[in-house]
Amino acid sequence: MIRFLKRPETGAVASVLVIWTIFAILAPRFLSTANMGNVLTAAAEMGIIAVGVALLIISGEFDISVGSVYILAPTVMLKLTTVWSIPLWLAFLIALAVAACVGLLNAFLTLRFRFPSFIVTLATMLLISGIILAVTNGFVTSYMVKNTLFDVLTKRVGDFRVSTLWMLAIGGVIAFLLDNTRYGNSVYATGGSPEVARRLGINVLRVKMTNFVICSTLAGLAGCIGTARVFSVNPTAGFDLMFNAAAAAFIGGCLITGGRGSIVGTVLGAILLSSLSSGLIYAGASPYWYRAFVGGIILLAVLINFSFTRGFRRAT
Amino acid sequence: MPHNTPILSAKSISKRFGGICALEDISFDVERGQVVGLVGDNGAGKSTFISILMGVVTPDTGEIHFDGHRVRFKSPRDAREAGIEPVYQQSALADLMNLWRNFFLGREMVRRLGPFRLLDKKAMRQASMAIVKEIGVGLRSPEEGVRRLSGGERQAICIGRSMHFDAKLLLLDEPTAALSVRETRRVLRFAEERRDRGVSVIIVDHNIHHIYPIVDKFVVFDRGTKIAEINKCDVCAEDVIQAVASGKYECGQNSTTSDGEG
Repeated sequence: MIRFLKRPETGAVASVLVIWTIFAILAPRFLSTANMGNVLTAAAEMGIIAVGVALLIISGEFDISVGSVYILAPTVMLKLTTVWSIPLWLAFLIALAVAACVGLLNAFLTLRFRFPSFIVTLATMLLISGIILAVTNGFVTSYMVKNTLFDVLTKRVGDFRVSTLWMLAIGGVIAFLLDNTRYGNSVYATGGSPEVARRLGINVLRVKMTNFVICSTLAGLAGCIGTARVFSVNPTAGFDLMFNAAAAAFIGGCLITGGRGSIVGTVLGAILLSSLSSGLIYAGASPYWYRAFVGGIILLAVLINFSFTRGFRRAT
Repeated sequence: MPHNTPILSAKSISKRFGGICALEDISFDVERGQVVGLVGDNGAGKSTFISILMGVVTPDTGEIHFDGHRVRFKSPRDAREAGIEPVYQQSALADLMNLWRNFFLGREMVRRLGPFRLLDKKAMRQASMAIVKEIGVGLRSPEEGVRRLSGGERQAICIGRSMHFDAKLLLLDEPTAALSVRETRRVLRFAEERRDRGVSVIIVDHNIHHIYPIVDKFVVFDRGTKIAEINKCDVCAEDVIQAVASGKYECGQNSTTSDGEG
């Protein structure tokens, strides 16, 4: 029991149960399959980004630029298809590769020059979203053609969408790798105790670089999924998503200093945030309260995380 | 394996950082089953030398021979695979990780599952717990975190780790700093036990009195050069401290350079 309470995702599990109970009492329709479908659809796109962000945070770095990569990848995909007539599948793969390159760039600037990743990715976020705005003039790019790629990414099945499965699959694979492979072990060590990891022969820089690339690629994938759902991409969007993805990771028990965190918790964090946004509407509250609630929940999550670390400092 | 050769032989090692000469023409040997005390004041080059042995720093010139072969460590992984194991107080264990993950960090046991290699958690839990019991560190479960352990217990676990991986040379970096008297003795006794099994040990420490009882040979560095290599039987602890403090060693006494070009 105590071991369960100490797990990083405990806070996220508890919060989801509490929030769902409250909304179920206030507005029974909150638990309808139609609404659950909406909740999970919103959670999927946020969650795929958040899983990558969480992986990177566990290894001790941070990526703000995911919000702009979320727009960059689908913009590249749709522009290549509509302007250059490149097949959509190929354009999709190129878009993911572009997203991966942004991750490489972030990694290079952070690791080569030892700049804090927070500042580096703040800069690349503004750079990328600025370039997108300049190139598109702020106009929405659309591709109103039914196609198999979009179906694979986010086909609607009843009240639910395929994208939810993508989130569960990606989250599941990364959670499994973290816990059951050498790589996972070195990710935790790299984030929590980089000096120890280095002295024991772990290539700390390679671990971080890999996670920068995974994080950015997943943000690009999430962007393509979002675009596949609405058949267009809006160059001015994405900023909120970046904050929400980071929030999901922190709710999921990730320590900003690295070394600790949970992918399962992060996925639950994303579900929690999207439940909150739809639940507030169902409960008759103004949706404008959403942000305030997210803020409160993040503070709560941080409180839980820090009580854990403080507890351990006192003990040493 | 040539068992008559020294386990470690450093030959004319030099290293510069920018304009600063950290090590100049350092040569000495460590015999099998020998405990070498590497001493010197701050900035003498002890850490740089240890970093070279650990594969963290590569020397500009000179050769390292380990276990009869010339080695060029490009990373700490190379050094550990060759059989050199670091024993640190501070940077030896990852605080947020549990015992078995720490014990095997960087060298995890894996089992094959089709094309994948997955951690063999069961084997690692058993192996780490067996060693911890043997060395008498008070952890009840391999899932327990290591963050509450003292500096001495951390080093004990490192030494236990070296036992498991059958390391041939231990590097103890400031093993007695900030330790209680009892813990200091315990750590040094572990080192002695390893020595009795033919493992060689290099101890870097400021407190010469602490390490004097177990050291066989002192190597004294001063500002990047080796100023003395003294068999313990020829000197008392005060002489070594005097050499460290003054940066000079008077060869008027019985200084020996039994194994090296002094």
